[in-house]
Amino acid sequence: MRLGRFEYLEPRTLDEACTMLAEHRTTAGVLAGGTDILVRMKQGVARPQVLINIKGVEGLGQVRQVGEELSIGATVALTDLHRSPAVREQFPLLTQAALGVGAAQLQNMGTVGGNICLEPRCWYYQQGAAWREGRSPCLKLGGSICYMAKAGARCHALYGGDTAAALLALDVRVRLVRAGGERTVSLDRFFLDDGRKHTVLEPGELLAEVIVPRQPAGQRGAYVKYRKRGAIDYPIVGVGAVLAIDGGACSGVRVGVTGVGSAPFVVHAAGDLAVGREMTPDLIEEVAEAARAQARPVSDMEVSAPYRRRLVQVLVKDALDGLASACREVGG
Amino acid sequence: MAEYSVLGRRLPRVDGPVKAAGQARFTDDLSVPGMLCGKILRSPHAHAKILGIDTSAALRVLGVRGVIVGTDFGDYRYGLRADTRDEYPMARGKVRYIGEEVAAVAAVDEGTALEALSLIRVDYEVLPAVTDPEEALREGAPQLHDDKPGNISVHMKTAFGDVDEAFRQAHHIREDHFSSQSVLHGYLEPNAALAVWEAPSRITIWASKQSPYFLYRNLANCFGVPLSNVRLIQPYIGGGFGGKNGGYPVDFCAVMLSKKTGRPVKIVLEQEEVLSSHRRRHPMHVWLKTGVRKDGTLLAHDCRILADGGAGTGVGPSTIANTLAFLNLPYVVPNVRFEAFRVYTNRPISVAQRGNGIQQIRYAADVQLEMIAEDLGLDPVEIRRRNGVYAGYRSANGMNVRSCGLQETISEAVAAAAWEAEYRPWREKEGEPLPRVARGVGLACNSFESGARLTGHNCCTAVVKVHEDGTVSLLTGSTDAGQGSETVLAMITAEILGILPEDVFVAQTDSAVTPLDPGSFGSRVSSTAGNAVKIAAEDARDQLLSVAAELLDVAPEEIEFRDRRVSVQGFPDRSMRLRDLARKTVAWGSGTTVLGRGSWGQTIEPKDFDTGEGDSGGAYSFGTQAARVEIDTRTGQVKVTRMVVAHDVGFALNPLAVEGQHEGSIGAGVGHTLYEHCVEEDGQTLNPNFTGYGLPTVFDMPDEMVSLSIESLDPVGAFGAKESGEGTQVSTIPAIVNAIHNAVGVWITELPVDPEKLLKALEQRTADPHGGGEGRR
Repeated sequence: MRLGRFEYLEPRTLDEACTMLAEHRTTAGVLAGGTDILVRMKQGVARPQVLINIKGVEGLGQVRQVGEELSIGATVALTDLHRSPAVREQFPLLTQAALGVGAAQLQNMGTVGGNICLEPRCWYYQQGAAWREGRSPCLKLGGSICYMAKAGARCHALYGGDTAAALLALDVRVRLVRAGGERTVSLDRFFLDDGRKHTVLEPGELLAEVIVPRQPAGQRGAYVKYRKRGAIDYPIVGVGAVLAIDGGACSGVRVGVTGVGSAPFVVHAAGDLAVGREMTPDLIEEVAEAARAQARPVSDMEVSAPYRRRLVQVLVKDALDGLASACREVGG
Repeated sequence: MAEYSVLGRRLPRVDGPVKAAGQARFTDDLSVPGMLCGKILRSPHAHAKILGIDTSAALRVLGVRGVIVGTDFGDYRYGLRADTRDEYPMARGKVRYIGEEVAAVAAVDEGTALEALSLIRVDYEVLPAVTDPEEALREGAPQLHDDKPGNISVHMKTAFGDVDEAFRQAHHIREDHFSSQSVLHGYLEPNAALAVWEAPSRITIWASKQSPYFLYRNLANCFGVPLSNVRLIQPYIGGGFGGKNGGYPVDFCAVMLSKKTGRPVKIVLEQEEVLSSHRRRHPMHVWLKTGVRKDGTLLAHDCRILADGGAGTGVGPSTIANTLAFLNLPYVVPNVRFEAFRVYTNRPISVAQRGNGIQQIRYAADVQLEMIAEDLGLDPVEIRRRNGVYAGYRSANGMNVRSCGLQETISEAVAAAAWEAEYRPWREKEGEPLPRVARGVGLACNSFESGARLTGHNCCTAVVKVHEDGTVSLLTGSTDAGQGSETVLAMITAEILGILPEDVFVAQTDSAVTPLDPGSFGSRVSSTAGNAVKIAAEDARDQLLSVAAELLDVAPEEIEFRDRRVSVQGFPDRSMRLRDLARKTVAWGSGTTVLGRGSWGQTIEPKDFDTGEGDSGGAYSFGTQAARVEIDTRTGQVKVTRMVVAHDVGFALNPLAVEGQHEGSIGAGVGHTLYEHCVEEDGQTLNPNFTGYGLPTVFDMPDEMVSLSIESLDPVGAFGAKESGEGTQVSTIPAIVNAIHNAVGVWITELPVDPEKLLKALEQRTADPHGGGEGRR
């Protein structure tokens, strides 16, 4: 498969990148590691006329401590993320999530920003042009049908970014910049459950930075992933979770889930259920059940919806079981 | 056992360094001046009439040199036998599966060729399609080929012994249904061809072929040129596994485009084209009824097969013949009834794939044997021992076992797997609650043919050319598609001539130069071509010997060739360097050239392909595998933690290569059992890429692999050698499936063992603990 024709731009500064994005808005594509967009361009499902390579933009490629917060630039490669001593020490769940992405080669090229913005995919949409020729276009390609759930009216393409679940658990913010302005939003509010448009990013806007807030002392975190093979596969379910225990009772818990729908999500009920209570196996079951209930997958070619929901429950339970024992070990 | 200087040693591959260094040249690495890029337009429909093809806009694109369609090939059709020629180089009149070749373009570069493809207008009348073999057999089903009514591509019905009487005598009878899925070959080098047509009638083609002489004949017939005008040169091959045997549209199209444009044309398929529409393994339904005595002795099989052939026949008759053959081995079954339908469907064409037709039947038969052991409370080791064949055995359908280490493979596998300590029958665990991680072990045995015997040409030939410095060039028509035969044939040559493998240059196949050969299929190269190489090297040695005898002044039979020297036995000081002998031989008399020649045809008669009676190969290997699995009982996910292979390879010509073959077989078998599956919808493959398809990664291989070779020294195979690369893939599947049963008490009778499927089976078992299995008792 070949790339179509496009113009290629290499901004050096964030301002320059924003100006270019503003100029080309809907016809621009952002390139960093290229592991997602280049494949989609070859398949003909993404057709940017201008490709803006932000890999060389100053200031986007570092992991930095800024006061009590950790700043992760959008173009930090996943390999650099999981090797970062600051990340390893403070947020091992983020290390686990970055190591869970595809394989080493993809981690070397893929970036944090790219993994967060990863385009939702499905086995009807993400195919070459020749493959798609025999079918009318799906919703995501401007047609009127979602082949995953034909009776519905929305696109069910699946989001598969691993790092998002861990970042949601850490309650991070993302800084979105555009020519002449910027805004910072909670990652929880960044995603939209729509396979056609799964983030709040507007044309001309760029995800520049991830800001990880300081976490409570004694908090433990983990990312667990279910996939069929030991590498390569996108998460069928990925769960990022953090837990803190204070004086025998849960003082904080946050669970992010990815791979289940068009956007990753935070398990809303977790805090209400658990904070102030002892993390007993029954309580963990309750939280896991809440996660299962919140998940609303549709069946796809790999697994059925009930099976995927069951996996959500199993993985949330596994993650919290492990964290609860880890917290107890350090005497939390 | 004879003492060898080279054979039996763990030697690295002779082609290892160039491949590791990236210097090995594959078809896509080749370039010829003036070369054009070819691209193929494929059908988006599973079944449609072609009402018209308008190529005029494509031809007007600047840089396009030629466009071809099916009619350019006249009425030429090809296939394994005269009665199975149902494939066209490009679709004629209608398309029969998604991805079938409809038109092809040659242009100055890839972009231009792709642009031209997008401008070709094909007018289709879409026809109803049938993509399920059972539906294809129903009355009123869409018909694929006018001259093959009922969509029947191959039908075989046969019986040996008195099956009905055997069932009357049986103490226990089971009837089960098994099915196996559509899987891909998974080679990393896509099919590719670079063709040069030179007017008036000469073809040179570099193509990725594991059996190049099929295509050589195909091209001569298709283009009406003498065989001496077809020069097929075989570059390195990036894997074949049965998917690069015959001629395919990519080859015919490259030649036709070159003929039409007067320029060399190279076509390299996209991996997406290969994975969505190229050849695949046969998906198969097996209905197997088996009767045994009280002690588990097998009395009879009654077997019905429904194989999904896709849109063409390919090598289908050999697949079905293999399925029957290996219903008869590795266990003694005195009475066998067999009926098979290989059916056309609007799907990619099913062909041979590592284990051709044998995986499917051995999966069914060995899992069912385990079920029978479970039914009767028999020990799984004991029931296999009791039924195993032995040297001198002649099966009900007339297959002759000349060497057999089956019992030893059972003993060695069981010992290496610590079976006695690890095996607890399921019936003892049945009442216990399932642990979160359930563990189990499973056994299976296999047999495989070494050197498939087809009708027609079956002889291998080798030429050993001795250079005047004592090094050697070896010419054979046998192809190393990655299995390591180049190394083994070099070792055989070196052994006979007393030189080192690095002294032997092994020429790649070139039909204008190397001798005719059947091809690399049916595990034939080491055991069969190996014999031809041995004879050729001996012939060369004898020519040198006559000169050496005069120079050393002894009788020829006193001379030995070893360590690049020629010596008189028992008198090490009476010796000379081989290079000196070679130089003197060249200058002997008025000058001579040492060319050793060896041919080895199979010593067996071809089987009767209508009845399935007779030998399917020159020798049979045997093996036993012990798998250990861990199952997460909450998700159904299976991990194979250990695989023990004990394989009667006859003689391990190169134990390192044998281990490599075993590990490759385990990998492919694990993939077939647990992960791989073409997910299809209305004839379209939804996962035509390595992200979605599920080839196992290194993390999915067993944590521990044990490879044990048993040497039974076959009287037919070269130096006693039998196959080592296919039998192990066959029994990987039932070993894992039996281990899964041992762990959690469910039988998976439909491949692959997808986690969700296994979990459903577990839930059903919990709901109805005694309802397991579909068997009738």
